[in-house]
This record gives sequence, C-alpha cells and structure tokens, in this order.
Amino acid sequence: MEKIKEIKIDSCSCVTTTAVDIGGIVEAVVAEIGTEKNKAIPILQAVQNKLNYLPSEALKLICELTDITPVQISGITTFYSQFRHLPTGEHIVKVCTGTACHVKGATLILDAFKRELKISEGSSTSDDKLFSVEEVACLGCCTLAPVVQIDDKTYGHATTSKVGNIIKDFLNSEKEIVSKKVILPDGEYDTEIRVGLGSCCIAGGSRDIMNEVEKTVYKYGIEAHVKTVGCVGVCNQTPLLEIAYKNKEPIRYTNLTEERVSEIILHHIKPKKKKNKLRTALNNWADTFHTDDMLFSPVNLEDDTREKYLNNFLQYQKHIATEHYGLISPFSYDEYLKYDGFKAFNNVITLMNQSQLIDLVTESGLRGRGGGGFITGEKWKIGYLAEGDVKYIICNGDEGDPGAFMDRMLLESFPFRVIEGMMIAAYAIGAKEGIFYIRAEYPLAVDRVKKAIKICEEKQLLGDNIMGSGFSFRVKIFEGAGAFVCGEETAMIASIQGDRGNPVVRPPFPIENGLYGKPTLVNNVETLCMIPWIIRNGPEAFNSIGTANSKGTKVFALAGKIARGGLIEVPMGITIRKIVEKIGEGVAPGRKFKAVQIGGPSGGCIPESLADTPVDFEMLTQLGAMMGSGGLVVLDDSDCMVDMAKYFLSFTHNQSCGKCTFCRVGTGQMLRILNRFSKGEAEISEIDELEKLCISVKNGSLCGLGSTAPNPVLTSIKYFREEYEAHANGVCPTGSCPALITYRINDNCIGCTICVTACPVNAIEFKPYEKHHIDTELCVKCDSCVQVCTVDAIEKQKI
Amino acid sequence: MIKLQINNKNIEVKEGTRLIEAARLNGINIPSLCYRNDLPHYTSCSVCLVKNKTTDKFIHSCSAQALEGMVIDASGKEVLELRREAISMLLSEHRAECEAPCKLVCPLGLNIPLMNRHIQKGDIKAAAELAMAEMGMPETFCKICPAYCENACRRKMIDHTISIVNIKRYSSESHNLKEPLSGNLKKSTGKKVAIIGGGFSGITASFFLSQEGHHCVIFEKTDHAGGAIINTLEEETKYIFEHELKNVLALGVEMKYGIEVNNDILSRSLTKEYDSVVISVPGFDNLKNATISENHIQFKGDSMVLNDVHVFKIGKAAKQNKQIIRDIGQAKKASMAINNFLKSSRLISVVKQFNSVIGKIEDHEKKVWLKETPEETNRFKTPISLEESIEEAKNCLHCDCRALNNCMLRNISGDYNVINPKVSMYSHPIEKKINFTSGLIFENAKCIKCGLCVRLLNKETINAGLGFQGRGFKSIISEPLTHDFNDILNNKTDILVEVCPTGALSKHEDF
Repeated sequence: MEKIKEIKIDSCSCVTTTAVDIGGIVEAVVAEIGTEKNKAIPILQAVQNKLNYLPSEALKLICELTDITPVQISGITTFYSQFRHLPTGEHIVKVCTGTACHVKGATLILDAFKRELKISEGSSTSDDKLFSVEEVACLGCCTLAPVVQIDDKTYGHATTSKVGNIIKDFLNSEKEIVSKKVILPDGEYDTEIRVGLGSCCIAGGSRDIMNEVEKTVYKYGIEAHVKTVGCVGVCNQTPLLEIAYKNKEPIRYTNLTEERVSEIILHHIKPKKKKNKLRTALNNWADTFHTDDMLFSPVNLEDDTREKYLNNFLQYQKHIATEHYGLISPFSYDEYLKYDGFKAFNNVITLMNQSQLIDLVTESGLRGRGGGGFITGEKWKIGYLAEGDVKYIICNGDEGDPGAFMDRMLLESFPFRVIEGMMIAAYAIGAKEGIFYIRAEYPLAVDRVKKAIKICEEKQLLGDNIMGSGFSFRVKIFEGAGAFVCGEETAMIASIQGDRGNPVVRPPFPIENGLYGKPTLVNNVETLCMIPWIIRNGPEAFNSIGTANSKGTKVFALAGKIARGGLIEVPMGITIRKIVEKIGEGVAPGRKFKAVQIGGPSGGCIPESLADTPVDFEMLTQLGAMMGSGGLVVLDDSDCMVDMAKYFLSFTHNQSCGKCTFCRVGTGQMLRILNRFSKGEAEISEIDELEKLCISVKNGSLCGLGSTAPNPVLTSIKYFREEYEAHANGVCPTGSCPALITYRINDNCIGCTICVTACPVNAIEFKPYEKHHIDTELCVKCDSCVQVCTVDAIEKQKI
Repeated sequence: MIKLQINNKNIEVKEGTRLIEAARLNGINIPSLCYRNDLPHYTSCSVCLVKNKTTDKFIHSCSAQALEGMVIDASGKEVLELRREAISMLLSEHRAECEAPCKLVCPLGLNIPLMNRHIQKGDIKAAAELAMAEMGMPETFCKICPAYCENACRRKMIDHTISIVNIKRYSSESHNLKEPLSGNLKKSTGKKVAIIGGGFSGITASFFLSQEGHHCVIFEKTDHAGGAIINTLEEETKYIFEHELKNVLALGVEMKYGIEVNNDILSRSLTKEYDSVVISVPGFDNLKNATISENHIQFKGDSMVLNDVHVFKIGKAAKQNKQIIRDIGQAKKASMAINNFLKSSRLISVVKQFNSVIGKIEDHEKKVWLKETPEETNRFKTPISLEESIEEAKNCLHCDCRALNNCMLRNISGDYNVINPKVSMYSHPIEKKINFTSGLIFENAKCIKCGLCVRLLNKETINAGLGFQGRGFKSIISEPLTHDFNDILNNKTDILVEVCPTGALSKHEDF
C-alpha cells in the first residue's frame, strides 16, 4: 500500500487580508479583461498578480461578475500549478528541478533550502512568512545547473553547502540601493559592445555587466554603440561580452565578472577625448598597482585561446532558426529589417499565392519541431483546404520539458522572426487571428514578444490589409498557467478556451476542428522560426541539409555533464557523438560519457555505444528515443539510469492531466516500482513487470504525454538492464540512490572540522585533529560534507 | 456512409459515428464505464479500447470516430488483456469494499448489515426472515459458530465489535422461531434429490434445494437428525434445533430415519429413483470425483456419474473441516451448484462474485465510518433483550456498498476475471460527504474519475455542481471550492446516483 502525498485544498483556511481591497481589485481586473468564460485564466493570473494568491472571496466574486462558473474556476485553479489558494512568503525561492539540474543534485538543494529556512514537512513557507520554497519544472537555465531563483535573482551552480550564503546574499542585495541608470547618448559608431541578455545570460549576471558597460562608456566617453543581443548559445559561459569593430570578427569574452568590464573595454577601445585619456591612464596605473591578478585577466590571454572555445562550439553548427544569433538585438525592429527581416513575408504576399507558398514549404521537407515531426507543408495544406470563414493559428511556446529551453531562447532573442513566421503561416491557411501560447515561467519571452507585437502593429505589419495586400492578421499572447500537458495541441486549445488542460481524442485534428471549433494551425516556435529563412533561401537550400527524411537543422538545448553546454543548432544527420564530443567538448576529465537523454520526458536515453547514430526523426524513434522538442542532456558514468527513469516518470506522472486511466494510474504504478528499485526493495522479476506495464501505458494512453511517458523507462531497461538488476540486489552502481548509499569518512581525514560546520544536521562530531565520524542515523545524505572536504576524505559507500 | 470492419464483420455506419456505437449497432458489445450515448464522450476509463489493425494502435472506441476502411479488433486477446489492465488500474485506486467484511467471513454469507438495517428500523420480521432464508437454521448454526463476523467487524477498529450474534438471536427469537419460511419459495421443478445423511450439511442441502423447488428426501441411518454433534450440544441449543428442523421440514423435505445407505443401495435403488444423489456422510471412497471442491465450487471431472445419475459429495463428505460451520457453509455453496445442474443439466462452476478490497485503512480515515451512525446511541457488548439489540444495531457502520448489485465496475471486474490488484494506490483519504437535505452521499475513494456526473450536471446547466479538481493522479471530483456539499445539488440526487458507474454517488435511503 502506498500513499501518495495528498494535497488538501481547504477553502476555509484562506487567510483573509483585511488591508487589501479584494473586491476593488477583482472588479478592476474583470473590467479590463472581460467577462467571458474563456477569460478565466487571464483574470485569475491578473488577480493573483495583485493579491499574491487567490482567496476564495476573490473566486466567488469572479464567478458573480463573469460567466465563469464555480465549477470551472475550482477546476482550473487547482489544475494549473501557477495558481495558489494560500498566500506565499514574501520571497519565493524557486528551485529548478529540470533534468540538467536534477543530474547535478537539485533535490539535495531543495532539501537544503527547506532545512536552512526551517520549513516544516508538508509546508512550503517559512514560519516567519519571509520565504516560500517551490520546485519548478525548468527555469530554462540548464547550462548553469543547478539553478535557484529567489524572486528575480537567479543563482547558478548552486551547491548544498552554498545555500546559506545564497540566502544571505539575497537578503543583502535586497538592501542595496539600486544605482541610477545611465543614459547614453545616441550616435553612429564603428564599434559595438554587445552584451548577451538571454535568460541564461541574465541568470549569469549580465544585467550587472550591462550596467558596468554603460557606466564605463559614459564615464570615459567611449565612442561605441552599446547593445543588447539575444542568446549567443554558449549559455554555460555567461555572462558574455563582445566587442565588434566594423567589418571584423568580433572579440568575445566569456564568464565575465563586473570588475573586468572597464578593463576590457578600455583595452580595446581607447577614449578619444584628452581628458578621458588621462583618466584612463591613471586608472590603468592604479589597477596594475592594486590588483595582483592581472596575469589571469582575460585581456591578457592570447587571442587564439580566447576564441578557440567559441570557434569549436560554433564550427559544427548551422544557424537557420537562430540566424544572426548574438548579432541582432531582440528589441530592435530596425536591426531585424537590416538583417533581411520581413523580406520573406514581403516576398510571400507580393509574389506567391497560398498554394505556391504551401508547395514551397512542403518541398523544403520541413517537419514540425515540436516533437511529432509532421510535415509542416502538409499540415498547412489541410489548414488551407479546411472550410471555415474563421481560422486560427497558434504558436506553441509551451515548452515544458525539463531540460529544454530552445523555444524560450528563440522567443527571447528573435521575437520578430517568430512573428514573421507566424504571419507567413497565417497567410498560407488564411487565418486572421494568431495566438502566442507562452508558458508563464518565461516572463522575459512574454515581455519581448509583447513589445515586438506592439512595434509590428505600429509599423502596420499586423492589422488590417497589411501592406495593401488585402491580408489581415492580428496576434495576441496567451500565457500558460503551468501545465506541461498543455503542450499537447488539444489540451492547449482547451486551456485557451478557459478550461482544464485535458487533451481530447484526435481525429478530428485541430487543423480541421480546433479552437472554438474552427480550423486551427498549431505550429511550434522553432518551426515558425525556420520559415523566413526557407522562403528567402529557397526550399533547396533547406532540403540539401540533413538526411533523407529529416531536413534542415534542429535546435538543441545541450546540457548535463559536458564541458560546454548551450543552445545549439545543428544540421540534421550530425551524430550524437559529434554533438557531445566536438560541440560540447565531452564530459569532465576522468569521467566517461555514458548516454544522452534526448527528447526529455517523452524521449529516451541513447547509450554511448549508439552515439554514432545520426540525428534524424526516424532513427531516434527506432532506438526508442524521440526527437521531442530538443532537450539533450548528457550523462556520464556517475549518473544512475534507474534514477533518471524515476526522475522523468515522476515528472510525467505529476504532469498527467488525470483524464485517462493508463496515464493517471499507470504512470503511478510504474513510479511505484521504480521507487522500489531505487530503494533496493524490488525483485528481479519486477523488471519484466515494469516493462509490461510500460507497454500497456504506451498502448492505452489517450494522448502523447501518456503514450511517450514510458520511453525513458523502456530505453533505460533496454540499454542498461544490468543497472536494474544491480538495484534489485541492493546496489546502486553509481552511488546515486540515497537509500542505497551511506557516507563514511576515511583515513584521509586530517581533522580540519570543515565538514562539521557544513553538516546541517550535526551528524559529524566536532573533534579537531582527529579522524571524524559520520553518525549515519542522523545523516540526511545531503552531500554537503563531500563538497567542502578538501582532502577527499568523505566517500559514498554502498550499503 | 462509412464502411469499416469490426471483428471481421463488414459494417456500414453514418459519418461521425463513434466506434463503440458502430459496434453496438452491429451486435458487438464493447464495454465502457465512462461512456453514455446521451452525454458527450470524455475518454477516461479506457475499458473500451479496441485495436485499429490498420495502424496497429489501440484506440478508445467511446470517442474515436469510425473512419472509412478501418479494420477494428474489438475482442482479440491483446485487446482483452489491455482492458483487463485498465480495470485493474481502476480498482487500484478504487478503495472500496463491495460486501461488508462480516458478510464475507460468514460461512453462510448472511447479509449482516442488511439485517442490522432491518432491525434498526424496527422491522424484526424482515431481519428474522433474512437470516432464515440465508442460513436455513440460523439460530442453531450461530450457536456452533465461533462468530467470525464479530471478529471481522470494522467497528472493532473504532471501539469494539457490533454484537452481531446476540442482535440476531433476540430479533429471531422474538419473531417466533416456529414460523417457517413463507416467501421466496419457487415452483416445483419435479426433480427429486436423495440426500444421504441427516446431519447439519444434509439438512442445509435439503433446505436450499427445496427452496429452489426440488423435492428432497433425506436418508438418515440413526433415529435422529443433526448427526453425532447434536448430543454434545446444550439443552437449549437442542431445543432450538428441534424447532428449526421443523421449519426446514415444513418446506416439504422428507426425512427417512434408520436407513443406512451403502454402495449397493446407492447404485441399485437411489440412482434409479432420483434425479440426483447428494452424499453428506463420510465413506463412498469409490466416488472420489464426485466431490465439489471448497472454494470456487468447481466440479472435478465427470466420473461422478453413476448409472446416468450425478452423485455429489458435500459437507463433511467433501472435506473434513475443523469447524463444523465450515462444512455447513460448503453444503450451502454446493447446493447452489447442484441446483444449477438440476436446472440446466450442465455442470457450471459457481464463480465467486468479484469483491473489491479496501486495503489498509489509515487511522485518520476510520472516523468516516461513523458518519452514518447516530451521534448518540448506547453500546451493548452483549445485548440481552430485543430493545438492547435494536439499540446496538444502530451502531453498525454499514460497510457494504450501496451499489452492491448495480455497480458497473464490480460487474465488469467479474466479467473480465480481474483479480484485486496487489497494491492499492490512492491520493486522497477515504471520505464520505453527505448532503443531509437531499440524502446524496459522495464517497471519493470509490470514484473512478469517469466524469459522468460532471458531464451530466454540465448538461443540466446548473451553477454549482460537481467538477474535477486538482490534476493527474491527485484529481478528484468535488463540489466547487466556493460551495458546501450540503448546499448543492438538492434535486439532482436520483439522476446522479443513476449515472455513477460505481457506488461513489449514492442515496442515503438506498440502504
């Protein structure tokens, strides 16, 4: 008998905040958003934004003021993870438990925060109501794993022993007075200073870098154009800075710190004004005098060394969806135009009719990048032929896979390109209305797309009779509310209509009968991003890249146990090994490349022995994995495959909508068996039982979530059965499963007591200059002692 | 029109027809727990899965449309196996019991909660007749039984067991032991059964077979009924036995004393004069295969035929049990099987009806069972009067399910031979919501999340009904967060109870 942790929604226990005018807030929100049933999610989001949670008083009032029924509102507020019925602490600690973070110990970090903040079991808020701790599926900063976000501040590369410091740092930074923003004069310059401002860059601290750049430029009167660019792709090396002279290859700096900024800028760009020159000279002198680490300064590195890494990283890539990565500013419409922006759309509406356009896209061989791999041109054709005066197009940006952040990066960095792709697709099928469905965890993407839409409307690229062509098209944004299943198109449509995100049976496919019963084209962000390039360069340029059935390029979020992670775009047909070893530069020294997990929770693992498999829809499916949306997490010999399978399954089980039996109950039964393996309780025969269950769930589930959920388990059994057998014998070969390991101190111990201080539960007795001992009864296996020990005296042992 | 094939049968249906309907229209039944043709489909229970042989994929026939050229397998091995798996998964979250534990353990299967309900309402006659109809000699048998029912009583986990034996005793006694069973007697079948042995098992067999309209003649070698054990009983019990025996004989059972049947008589006389012979005494080792085995009442082999007449061994003749009450229980079950044979001339195994198990009950869940007992009653460890018995009966928790006889999940579990899943998995505690205005009861632990009630209420367009809450495994059907269960659905009880495929939604008075 197993009891799954229950959640109890108690409408009565809501804390009523007397000071807040709930009625006034709800009325204002309803007045602004509307009273229709399908406005439920936006209304709830707005109300929660203002009140921090959804008191039942507010829910009742919403029902009174709108067409939304009590059943509907209760259904959706409990379905989507974003909504809260209880107030949170003042600050929210979000611990990312995405794949990349998981393999780097996110669970331990989560426990450590709860311990540090003294949050009791079953609660998520500290007693002083200062902090709430939440798990998030993926913050999309996989390359900085493990990642923690406190309010808007992101901390990468967290460890359990650093948790206390992170909280201290956050509380200190709260007190800091925000310095006044510098406004730089406009001007035409030959030199550009570019700062990456993708989410990973921001998480890496690029806002501080940007401030510093602006300060330096202002202070010294540097004649250069300072600009922010989208994701450059080298996300684990953030923050990034580039100095670009006209007609020259830019010089890039990675892993930058604030202190280095002025030094680098002044090294490359000399101030022109006399007064400033003098200031530079003095500063330089002072710097040399005061800092003793000038030798290690990036400025002093040879140009070769500096760029070798980036060149290696980029050499095997081909940029289509991410064309002009790191070059164009995500906010600049003019710059997008300068780099051929909207040229494709212009071509389309001036030179092509719908059939010609559809034929061209079909000829390119482009297949949907969201996971299914349906031929895009064919989908468009069905949409074009579908009867109906009203048709819709939805851009699917509900990228929920833990370990995937392609869509986020594309939306953040190339909002205009996605809009252009969407306009072309809309033209193809004859849709007049488009919806960006973007998950709520991507506020930056929402913000940038919103701004880009506004600009396009101002430039009359969106609206009625665009460019006098007779084609009218408008777009709006719908923010997801936190449900992975909404990436499935029918669930997404249900969600836009204001319902619980339950998938429905197909056919009819949305392309024939979708949003509000109208033909609805749902295309993934990446798919739409490829369209302008294909139109401009012709279908042959696209279909000459790739394999027989998989054309063009694919964007992957490369993360996990590799030296260089990031956002990469590679030609189809490239081998997995090349991605891991050349682009990612392999696993850490001394470690062995074990497998890749491709396609997130719907995909599977591919062992090193099959790493020469080319990236291709069919080839991956044959191996039991899946292209999925493109998460690619590299695992090394310290990763336990049972643990990985368990991790993905807890994700899908948790994200199941609960509608069909096989997914709702079946995934739970699979998880139960996996838990037994990870605790060493399972019998060998349960491997077969698990496999059988997997096949049933695969066969019997209604939608893609359930039918692909067993993939990570099935592939791990297929390729790493011996690990399951070992667990059945009570051994976790990699020492990853906490129930099967114990921490011991060996003779290396010098009695320095550093581990004693690090231990959060006082399981190590304070005995200076003596060999320490861990009380295994008290030990919570948080790994903190291992992290701080300088002499490798603490080892994990099999029980 | 759409042309397709289901189970190798070529059929034609209107465009847009769901597969389940297409099949049903053509006489192929596909089961479903979440589908009703007057409500929108929801694709939940997955019991309706069929295989689309063209794509080699399994699809939900309740919602999948019949498409041109489809080749559907609606009853192949794989399909049945997958359905069985779906049912088993539903059962793993269905924390419920069909029958109450006391009834399950009673060797004669007395419906104790029903009896208690009769008594509670003051209908002593109904209670006494129920006991007699199900036990034959209710008072005698309870005297020789170690009271398994009281040991199994769920009330034990809260305070102490319901005093079932005494409650029954005083209600039966007060009704008048001498009155024979009147109702429920079936028309004579014209079949004659010879029963060898006038002990408890033989009498039991004669009671149940007579009720079914067969003429029974008991051959007892001594001059008294009740076997050897009768002499070891207290005088009071003997007295009760005499009365109860009269009641049995009143059904038309003939008792012939002083006749010892041996193999010779059996084969030369009995098998010629009777349609069937039932042996309830030891011996007759040559007739090994005539035994009806204890558990599932299965017939072993066919060499029990002697001179074209079927000979059955029951009770002690079948298996010597430590407790004589178990022999009697076996005799009752065997009689059912013999009755089936006499009526159909075929040996049909009597399969135990499916019974869902509840699994371990958490401490905090136990109080839920008290919800239907009055707040203030007295407990009598051993009631000694009818008044005290009635009072004690009010404390019965009524652990049996109200949907006992019309539960689709129970029926389909039986049809598909599903065994109770080893592990039960659940996300919410056992809970019982009662709307005291309308009598609607909702027990979430029994809910299989088919959503029929939600869809039904949606169609009725009412403001606050029942809806899904939570997501995935943790989802549950509930009243809205903004309302109280006691304030909603006041005139919807009947349609809700009707639509629910399990006992999750029921009506207070249905007990």
